[in-house]
Amino acid sequence: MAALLRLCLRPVPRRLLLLLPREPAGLSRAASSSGPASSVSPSALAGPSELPPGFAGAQPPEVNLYDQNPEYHGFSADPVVDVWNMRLAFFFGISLAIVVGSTFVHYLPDHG
Amino acid sequence: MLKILLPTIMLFPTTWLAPMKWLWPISLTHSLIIALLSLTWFKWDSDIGWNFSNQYLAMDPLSMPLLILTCWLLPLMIMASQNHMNSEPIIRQRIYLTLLISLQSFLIMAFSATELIMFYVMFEATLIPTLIIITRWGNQTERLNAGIYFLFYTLIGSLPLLIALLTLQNSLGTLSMITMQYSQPSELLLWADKFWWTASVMAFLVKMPLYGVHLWLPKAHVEAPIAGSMILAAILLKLGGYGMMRIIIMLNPLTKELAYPFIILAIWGIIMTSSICLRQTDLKSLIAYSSVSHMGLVAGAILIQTPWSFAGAITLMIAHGLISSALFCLANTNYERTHSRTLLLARGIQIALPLMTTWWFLTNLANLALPPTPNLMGELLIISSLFNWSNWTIILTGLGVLITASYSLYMFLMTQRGPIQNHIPSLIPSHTREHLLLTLHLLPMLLLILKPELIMGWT
Repeated sequence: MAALLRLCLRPVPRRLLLLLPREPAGLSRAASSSGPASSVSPSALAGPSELPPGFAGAQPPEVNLYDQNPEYHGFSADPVVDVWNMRLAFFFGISLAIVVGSTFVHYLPDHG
Repeated sequence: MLKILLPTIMLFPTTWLAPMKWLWPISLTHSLIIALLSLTWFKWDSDIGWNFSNQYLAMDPLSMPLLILTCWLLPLMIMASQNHMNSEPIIRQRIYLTLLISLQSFLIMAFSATELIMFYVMFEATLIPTLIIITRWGNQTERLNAGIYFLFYTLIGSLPLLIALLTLQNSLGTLSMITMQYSQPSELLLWADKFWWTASVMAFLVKMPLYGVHLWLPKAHVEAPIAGSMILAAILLKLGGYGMMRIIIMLNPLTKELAYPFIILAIWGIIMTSSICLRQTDLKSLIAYSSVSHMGLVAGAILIQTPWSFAGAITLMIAHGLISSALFCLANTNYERTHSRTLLLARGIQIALPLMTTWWFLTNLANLALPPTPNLMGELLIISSLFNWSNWTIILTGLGVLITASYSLYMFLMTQRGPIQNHIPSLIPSHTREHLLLTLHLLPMLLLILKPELIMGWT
């Protein structure tokens, strides 16, 4: 079955196509007017099994990090770094920048 | 000025010397401290119009909100990029952060430059890290084409600007913004002066972008990774608006006649690009065209040069910067889960991620300029001043507001409401990081509702 599928993937060589009975020219609908040079040679087409190993587009398999760490915060796969990153981001971002920062801006003297 | 610029430059050794595990927390913390310190720039105690000045750098009510927004955006970009950069080798993570930090440094120097050639050099310098971010870390093959469009559209606009600035230097003897406002306006009577006027503004109109020279923007915004989209939408477009506001004082009296086709293009562009938004299948492309639409309002406002229009332009630039960046972050939360930007493929997300819907809702409401957001304040000032300039503009700007509301609601309803797609039965729950990221976009917006005069310029 797999061999059959592989046959389906590969294009039929041109020499085998030439052995097929040809229709009269007047009845053919899809006769190509371009020469043989314009058709893609079978060797240029590669099936998926012929991709080089370590293909550059391959992504690492996706892992749900919540499975490994139920307390995942979205920062890092390492749980300790993840928690500390979350704490630092909230402390400097919310407690300092938003709260202290907006208090500072509120008490600035008016200008203009 | 240097107390922010030097810590920003010190982020370079921080990025390269930080241990691998702690790279992102350390750089995030460092950049948040810089953002906190940048809030001191809100303090205004100058009688000469320029504050925090040294020999090369200074600040005024136009550049101050843009500088603070720039400093605020770096920690947000770092937070947004952490997830998709996790799988990269450590060297590439450091390079990525280095590019973001170099962008930050160039932008600080660009906005605080007192001399036009320094502004020009920094304006051009921001192109390089952005190009590298788009072409190296973009996800699709179209990123190469996007990089080409981005680079060459901007360069074709800005090389004539260099000639124009050198011509101005030749005639005035200086390009210092501090003294330029006091120099005698030159009589621009020659035919060649019209070319000089066009050369001076074309770079900024391409950057904004003006409808007609806007084609680089949807490509660049869509193909860039999340940090690239954030910095492009929030800050780099505003470089164009800022530059135009600086140079346009030297271009009178020609502006009264020569600005007409560009004002018409800008206002017509609002209608065209917001209509295109209603037909977009790609979520990031929708947000990108939305940016063009809003910047059309800003471009029209700057070209008519009235006090209200300038105040509206500055307000809308800051408000749009925050909201547009938030929208790209929201689109990225979808993309990281479904790996698709197609609107039809990620519908009914409210059922799977209900908390994220809150952020989608608030951000879309701000995008459609719901009162009392600063987006509305900016748009109202601009629309009123355009109406004062010519009554007929109200038809186009009013229609633009209606279509903006339509596509913002369309974006919300398409992504959040309706039945969830069968091929995405379960999505990874929202991370704390994502909620914090959107909080840090929307909380400043909320605070600016309470004190909008901070971002209204010289009012």
